[in-house]
Amino acid sequence: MDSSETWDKDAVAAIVAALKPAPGALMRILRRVQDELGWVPPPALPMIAHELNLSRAEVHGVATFYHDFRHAPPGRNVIRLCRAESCQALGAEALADHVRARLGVGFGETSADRAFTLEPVYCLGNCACSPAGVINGNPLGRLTPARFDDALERLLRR
Amino acid sequence: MSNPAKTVKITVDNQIIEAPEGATLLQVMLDAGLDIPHYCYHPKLSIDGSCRLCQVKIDGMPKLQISCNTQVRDGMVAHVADPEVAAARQGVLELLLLNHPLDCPICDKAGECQLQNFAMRFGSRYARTVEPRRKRGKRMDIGERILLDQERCILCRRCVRFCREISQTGELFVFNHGDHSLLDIYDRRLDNDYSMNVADVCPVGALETKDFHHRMRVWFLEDTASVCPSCSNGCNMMISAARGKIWRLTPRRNDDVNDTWMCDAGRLNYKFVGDPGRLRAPLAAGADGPAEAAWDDALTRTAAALGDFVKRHGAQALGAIASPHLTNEENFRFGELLRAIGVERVAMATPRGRQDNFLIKAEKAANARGVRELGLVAGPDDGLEELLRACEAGVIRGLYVCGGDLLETAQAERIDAIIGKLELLIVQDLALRPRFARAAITLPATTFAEKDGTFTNHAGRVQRIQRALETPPGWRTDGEIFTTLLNELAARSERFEIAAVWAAMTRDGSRFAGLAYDNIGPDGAPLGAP
Amino acid sequence: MTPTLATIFVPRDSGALSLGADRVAAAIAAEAARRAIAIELVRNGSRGLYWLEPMVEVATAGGARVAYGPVGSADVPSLFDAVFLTNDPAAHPLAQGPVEQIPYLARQRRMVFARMGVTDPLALDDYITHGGFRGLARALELSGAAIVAEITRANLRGRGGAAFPAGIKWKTTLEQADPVKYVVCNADEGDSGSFADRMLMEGDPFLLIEGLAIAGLAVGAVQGFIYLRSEYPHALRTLTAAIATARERGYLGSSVCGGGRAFDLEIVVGAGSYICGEETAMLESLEGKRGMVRFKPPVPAVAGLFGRPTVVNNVVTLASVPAILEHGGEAYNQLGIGRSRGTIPLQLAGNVARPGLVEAPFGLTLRELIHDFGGGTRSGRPLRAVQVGGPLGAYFPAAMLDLPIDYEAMAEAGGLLGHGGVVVFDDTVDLARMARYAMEFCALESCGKCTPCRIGSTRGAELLDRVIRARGDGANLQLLRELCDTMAAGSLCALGGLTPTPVLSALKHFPEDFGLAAAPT
Repeated sequence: MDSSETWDKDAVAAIVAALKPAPGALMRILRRVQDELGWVPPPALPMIAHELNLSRAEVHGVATFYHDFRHAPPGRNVIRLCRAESCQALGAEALADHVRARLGVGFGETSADRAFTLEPVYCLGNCACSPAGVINGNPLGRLTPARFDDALERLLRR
Repeated sequence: MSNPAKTVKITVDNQIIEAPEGATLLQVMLDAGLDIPHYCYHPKLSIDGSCRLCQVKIDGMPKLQISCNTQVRDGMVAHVADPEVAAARQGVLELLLLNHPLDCPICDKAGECQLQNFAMRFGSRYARTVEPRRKRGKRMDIGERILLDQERCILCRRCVRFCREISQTGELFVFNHGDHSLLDIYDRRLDNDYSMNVADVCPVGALETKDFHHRMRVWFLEDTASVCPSCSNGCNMMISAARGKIWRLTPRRNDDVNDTWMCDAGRLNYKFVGDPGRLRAPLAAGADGPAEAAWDDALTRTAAALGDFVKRHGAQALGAIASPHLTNEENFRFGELLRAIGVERVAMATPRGRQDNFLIKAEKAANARGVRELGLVAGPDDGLEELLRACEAGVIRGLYVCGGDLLETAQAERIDAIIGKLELLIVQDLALRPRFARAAITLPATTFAEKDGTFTNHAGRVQRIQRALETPPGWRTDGEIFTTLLNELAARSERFEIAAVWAAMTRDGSRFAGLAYDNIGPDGAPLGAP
Repeated sequence: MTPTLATIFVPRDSGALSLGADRVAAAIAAEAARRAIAIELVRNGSRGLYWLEPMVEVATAGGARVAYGPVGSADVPSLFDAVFLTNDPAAHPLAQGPVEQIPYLARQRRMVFARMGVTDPLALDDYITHGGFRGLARALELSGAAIVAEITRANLRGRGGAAFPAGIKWKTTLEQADPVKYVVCNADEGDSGSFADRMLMEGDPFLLIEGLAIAGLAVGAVQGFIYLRSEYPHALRTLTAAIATARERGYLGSSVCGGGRAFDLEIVVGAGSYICGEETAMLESLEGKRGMVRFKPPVPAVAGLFGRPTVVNNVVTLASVPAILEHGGEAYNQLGIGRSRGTIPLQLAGNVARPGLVEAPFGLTLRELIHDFGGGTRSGRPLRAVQVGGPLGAYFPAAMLDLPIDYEAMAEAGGLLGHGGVVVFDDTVDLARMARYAMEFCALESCGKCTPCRIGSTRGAELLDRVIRARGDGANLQLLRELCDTMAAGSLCALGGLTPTPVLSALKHFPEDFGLAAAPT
């Protein structure tokens, strides 16, 4: 966890200001921060706690509960592979081995050049097109090592 | 008790138990003396329903139910001595022990640990753990007075709920989720006024007080039910002593006073009992300053000094300061003594300090209300200002001072000046204070832990304290001192026996009338309406 | 302007997108422009015939919609040739014939998914033209109690997994005196093998809005929340737009359809926690907290969101409501078998030739579903196992495929129907590894509150590692069985309580994978 990473204080402040009155505001704020910044910077938590009149511990507790909230910034490209049953039935494990080797990172890791972050996901609701994955928010279905490499090529060409 | 609930009958393993309708099944079973294992449940905290150890079988319910979240209904039939229940408990206990470090030899909780107790009574006889136990934080310094051992923690969250619901300070929290869940503080240390209660509510040794850490095995401790002497709230507590020494004070449940809590300051205020600076014998003024004297000699000399003084100056020249630290019985006898001599000017000095809206009261003594109810003192300042002025005016020329509180409540120079003018000073205190060095006689006082008696708390509840430590042979407690002086000065032959004192103390017209010492149970008894 | 020669439908469903539907749509637009052919390009929902996705439908003037699939962008020129140059569009190698006559679709009884793939999900008039808001119109004429009575008469049971009667939940909430009540839609469809909720939100969002509005009217709630899982960004976009349109057109807001009663909706997006699909954990999350499961009682219908009486239903449950109101509870109750009434959208996934959505009355057998609809395994290898009902569901062997799909039959067979997901495995599957995965998943997703789930799941995964290393070790298997008993008996919620289901069913039906003698068939 590298809290020395720079993060956009103003963006977080604006999110907090906008969502503070909403019921159950903390989750919505953390969600929006994650969506806009790509992570939930730990140094932002005291500010959120203060604004919501919650203890910092409480905010930290919520931030550490959910899988989605990253505590460090991700790589430039986020690749998520489904590891649930339907995808396993069609070779998700072999696909995962290929992707790990291709990207040189394990699940939950970011490559040294910060080009890729690889994350596991447990069902994308795309089980009828298993194995499924997501690259930078774009869904991918019926993945094979070759199809994954094609998608990666398209991504890198861009 | 207003509007008592309807009583219902339930059956637990063929035993019929009566309970108020809607009461918690677990509590009802515990109150009936049944041994039901539980960790997350605590009678003074919200229900958590997480440890899953108090499962019982209830007729008509398809699955086992947690009894901590089950309300009793008339005709409910529950089973605890059931193989299904036993298997469920045993399974849960096995899981709780999987990652537990089993470092009982160096755990303060060993001997009173619910994990040990329940594992012994309800657990498996064999360990089937193969995987290495998980490493977590050990002996983490999370507060001024508290240590955390995350490996021992079973995540019952009692402490989290305590900090949220009772101290309302929210320092402790569970972070992460699933099997990575960890109890910890975040950015605020656990330093609230009640922080040490988390060690009491912790059913295992995950939270320990630094004060008791690695000091004494609990099985050597002897517990004595008593009352905290540190403020007028009178929190009920246990004195745990061994080898003639107090090792800790812990709260004792009294729903009318302190539920099951006490403040850290009160809990830690026991070291004066074993202070090596305490008086071991009476002191008598001599050519080279105060010198130890034999008890009988000192008391004879005290009686003589008081008698002489009254003969020479009249009783109106003698004043007295009563102590809010002494019991009702002692103060009653002190009052008898003063009346016998004819002393009318009596005041009380009570140290004051911070208060909150929970347990901590401003008056830092246990029995100020008792002294007032006995009629020894009156007035908004318990007669202190009037007495001091009488001293300054030379009307009072002799003082019998119980306790050193006077020195903490009035301005130092003023007291020094008054003491300087006195012709007779008798002091009864725990230690020799330099400012009282001029006393003709200094008689050793006895602490709350070394005697029996009662305190009357701020709300008028009379509560018993009990002797936890022995006094040396020949020692005289405060009450015995007053009694000896009374006998000598008024040709009486009283003994300081609680029952006899109570008989006199509760005579008609007394605020204590209607109470009987033997009827004051562990929860105390309220004074009648004035 | 040239008259439109054809309407071409390319799904916007994220499953279709994952197979390149956007590229196909772009190619079609470009091809039409190149050929100067006036077409209307509609981005519909998916029909749920996923092996054909991207499935392009072409409707020429007055003609039926003809399906082509799976279409790649490279197929677009030949598709245009077939449709616009030849007299025989059915001659194209990807042609599937009139879409309604594709047997997979024709054999279904689409009630909840009736509009799925037919309409433009965001065209409200399209929704109305195809029968939308009729249930709401009827509800507006009824008292709350009368609406609840219809739901009760329909015997609608929660489709999220627990199969609890919706009528009882609604009635309980209706009867609470609290002036503030909520309706919450559980759109945290986390069970792997399930995608009906996602399809519905992406493909027919107004249906869910209508169902929620009816629920609000029924119990007296003026605010509804949709708790949507973050893995569904397309559903979020579609629902957000649909809610805005519904509000603009007066179907949501201070006076629903001018009837004087208020109801509005808000979407709250989760953060990747499976346990937040458990209704009480979801309420905690909606309140902005850690998604820790609450003990019950009190049930949410009495004290739910922010302590208020709250109806919590899953997407398909709520989407079943408009049809029940429109046609009456009794009509719905006529369908199905036993105590499972109405239709169930089944989701066929895993190693199956024709994966997709099959809505049918309860009572279809697994064999009919997997063979008649699904066409057997995709790999062509023998089918060995089927997991029904998501990660907490049982693994059944091929010999049990005649099980009828209904809640009680599944329970009797030691499994559960759950959210209706069916995942097929061929003979390469190792059930000991699948059992290990079940425990691992539970460990990953456990909220950590109760002991059996928190510690038991981790121990279960460790134990199964040992089982896999030393198959046939009876001591390990005994330990595993006891652990499953502890989790099943003592867990606070269904996650820990039902994780033993896949584990024990794998052990029971596939003992050879655990090193034991094969079960007699």
